[in-house]
Amino acid sequence: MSPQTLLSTLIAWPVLGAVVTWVFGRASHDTARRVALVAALGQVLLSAGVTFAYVTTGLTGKGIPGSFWFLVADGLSLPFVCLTAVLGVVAVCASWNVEESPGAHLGLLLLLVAMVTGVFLAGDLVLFYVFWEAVLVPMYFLIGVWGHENRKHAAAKFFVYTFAGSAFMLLGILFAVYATRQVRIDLALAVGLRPALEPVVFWLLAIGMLVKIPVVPFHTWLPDAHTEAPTAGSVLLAGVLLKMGGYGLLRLAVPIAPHAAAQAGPVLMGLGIAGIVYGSLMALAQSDLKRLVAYSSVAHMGFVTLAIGVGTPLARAAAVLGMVSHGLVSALLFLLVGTLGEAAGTRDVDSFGGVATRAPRMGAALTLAFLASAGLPALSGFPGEALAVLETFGRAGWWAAFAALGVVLSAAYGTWTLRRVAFGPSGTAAVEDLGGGIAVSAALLCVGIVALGVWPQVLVGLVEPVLATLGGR
Amino acid sequence: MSVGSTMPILIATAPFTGALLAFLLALAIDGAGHERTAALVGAAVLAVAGVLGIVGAFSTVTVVARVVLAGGPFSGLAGAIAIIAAIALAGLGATPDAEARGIAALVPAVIAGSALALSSVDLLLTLAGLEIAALAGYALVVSRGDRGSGEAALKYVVQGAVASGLAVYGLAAAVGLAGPSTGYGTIAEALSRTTLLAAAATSGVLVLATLAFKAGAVPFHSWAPDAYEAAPAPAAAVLATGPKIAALTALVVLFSRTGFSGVASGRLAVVIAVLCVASIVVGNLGALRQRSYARMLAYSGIAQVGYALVGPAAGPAAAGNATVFAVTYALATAGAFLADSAVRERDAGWDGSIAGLAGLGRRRPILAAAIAVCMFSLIGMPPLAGFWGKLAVFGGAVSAGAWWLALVGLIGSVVSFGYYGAVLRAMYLEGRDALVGESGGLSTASAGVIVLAVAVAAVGALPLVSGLNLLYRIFGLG
Repeated sequence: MSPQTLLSTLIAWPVLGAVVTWVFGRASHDTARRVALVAALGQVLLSAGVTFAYVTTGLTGKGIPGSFWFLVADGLSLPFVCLTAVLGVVAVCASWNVEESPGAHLGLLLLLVAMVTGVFLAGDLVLFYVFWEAVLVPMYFLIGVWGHENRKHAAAKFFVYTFAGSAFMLLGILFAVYATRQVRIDLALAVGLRPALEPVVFWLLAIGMLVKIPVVPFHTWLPDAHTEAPTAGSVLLAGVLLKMGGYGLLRLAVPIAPHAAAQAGPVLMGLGIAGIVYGSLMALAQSDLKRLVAYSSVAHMGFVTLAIGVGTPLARAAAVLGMVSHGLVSALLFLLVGTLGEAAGTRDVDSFGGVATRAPRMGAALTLAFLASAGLPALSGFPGEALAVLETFGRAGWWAAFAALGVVLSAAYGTWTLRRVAFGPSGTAAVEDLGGGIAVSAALLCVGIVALGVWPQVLVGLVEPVLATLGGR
Repeated sequence: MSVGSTMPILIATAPFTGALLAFLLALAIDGAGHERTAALVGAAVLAVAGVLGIVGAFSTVTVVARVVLAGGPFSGLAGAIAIIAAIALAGLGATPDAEARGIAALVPAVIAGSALALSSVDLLLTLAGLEIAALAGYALVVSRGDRGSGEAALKYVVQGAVASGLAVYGLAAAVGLAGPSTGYGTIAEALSRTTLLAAAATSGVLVLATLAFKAGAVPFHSWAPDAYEAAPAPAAAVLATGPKIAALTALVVLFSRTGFSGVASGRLAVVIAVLCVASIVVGNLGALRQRSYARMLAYSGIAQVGYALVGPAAGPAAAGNATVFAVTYALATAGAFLADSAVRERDAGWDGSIAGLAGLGRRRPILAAAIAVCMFSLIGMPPLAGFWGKLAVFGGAVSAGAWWLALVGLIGSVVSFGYYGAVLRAMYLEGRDALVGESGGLSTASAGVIVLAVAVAAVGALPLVSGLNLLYRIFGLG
């Protein structure tokens, strides 16, 4: 099988799964669930196989001339492809008990997995935009149809914010295409832009990507979307959709306009620090558990923006580490918080308490997740953020103190929330312990968090050689 | 002339001759009192003619009878509007009622006039073709026979008469400059030599105004919402596609290729850019305010003409993209208009409002999905047809250095989610307690919506693999 065909199956398989799930879902809900699970597990196997093929033999392909369909799998894209596949399984498990049109719900989840995978694999500027935009459609319906009380408003806000951002991104892509006369990303990078055009293209692309990450002050869609989304929607939104922004910067915006990106470094660093401090403080002030985790996402993605702004190869590797770690941690947090909230009928922090004694598995998972989020060494949150702070110190001196303050703040809201939810006297809300598919997927995520925390160099080793070829300072 | 050289020309001109044939047949059968049969026969003839036109698009462009172009995009565009009209008419065949009478003959007449206008290279013939389409259009608008349709038709006729008047003055000025001939080539040559620049510009502006009226561009747009709302849905689907594509094609040819293109490279380009931006702004703001589904579509159609005009406004090199965009728009917008009658078929109590579509996603899942595809395509979501149309015009504008036109268009697209999204919201996010409907027993009107939605998706998916060359070859004015 040629590499292009192999990579195409990574997109075609979940699309096929989505269609079959939807068709069967009309007749039998249970069949739809099983089909979706098989499709999601198959995607994990496929991604693992492709990663194995990349590590052992490498994947290079030519693509069809005159076509937009050109896929690239390398050390930068494959970690995200695998992350997406794993979170696809988590999302399917989290949606196991959805009663309203489960076929359509699970089908949309698989479609979302396919489109996000397409973003990470796209080796063509137009194809990249196609997948980038196509992601909006399933997410809009997931929030809008299966969300909570305020779902209609949240879905529209999500769509409009990110659509507006990507309109600028499309303009940037068009500039890049017509300035280089190339649609393939690698060829466009080889041609390069003239210096006068670099800042224009960089900022047009960056606007779309920064909205997606999201950086303060373009973040306001995120807490609403997360609070209203069903659990599986939050898992994929926090776990992989936000990563599209950081990935886009590393894959496209920085390499195509390296000088403009270097000049923009301080701005990005400022945006990152603002996100870290603001997100952490807002997380401290929330009483809704899902909103709290959503603001913690703003803070953690702030580290990613900061690291990309610093721009050294090590800092950009830290950004990838931070994104993969946040993908696992935020997915776990949303899975747990969503499950807690759906069982209890409330997401108010103070109505819980003593979860660890009443539901030991849930308590253990919550503890691990919040500690990882707080950046405890040996868990996945630590290496990326520590590296980001160190690299910031090297570049910007004592400004790194603000980033370090963010680490302290995240430890503060993490442990404080943990104390209020998992420990202390029992609260009023009913609590169910983890069981079934949710328990398995939570365990899977915990293993991933520990593995990445102990052994981050596996990921760095995969990512660094690619980042070295993708410009930057 | 040998058979070998006649065949391609017969195929390439099939949309026009086929529409003429469909008109005559439908007129005869309808006159005998069989509206239903007339519509089906008309649809069948138009469909064959349209497919032949698409086939004919692969032959090279040739001049037929010295006044008409055949082959290439001129056959492809005429073929596309004939196919769309065939789908609209086929939907009509199954729902005979008082208002269906006459439509079977009038729709092919609109297509014949439009096909003539878009392939003509003679100003007199272009205007005559558009006038034929408009006359049939007036009758279509009034065919419902109630008070509202009478008012709308009167407005349309009066404004149309003014446009025709402008056209006559423009034509007179062109004849004065170019001598007895009104061929595009003769006009171009005469204008390149003339010292009467004011007369040349006046003639150009008058013709431009006429074409802008026919396309429904601001400030000549105010007839469109009333007319599209008053006309029966299948007729609106045809009126919002055929004459629009014809007028846009004529505009691109006349102002970017030949005819007035010499004048247009100067001040007229500014006029076209003003029409373009005004249409995008007014159309979007107008559509945002609408509660009626059909009126929303009509106003959004004004904005869509604005996106198409980004092509000629950006300069001659980018102008040909306008017709690619227009076809992608036409497929989705025809589906959206047909949806109006498809919804009514099962839901006689529907008041025509967007809010009234609540729960359609549950009640009629397949029809709702088809409408959703059309809406997403009109927004410009990839990978659907409308995305490639917008990529073509906006990309062409950036390439030609007119990036600000692309920016205006993109902002317009974001705003358009406000009203196209309202339809999605009503169908899927509202009315979740609606009863789940059975999927069987599709009506012909909803079959038309589904066929067009599939076409929108197919035209959208194909370029991913094949690139845009095929679309440009059939529909782009190179």
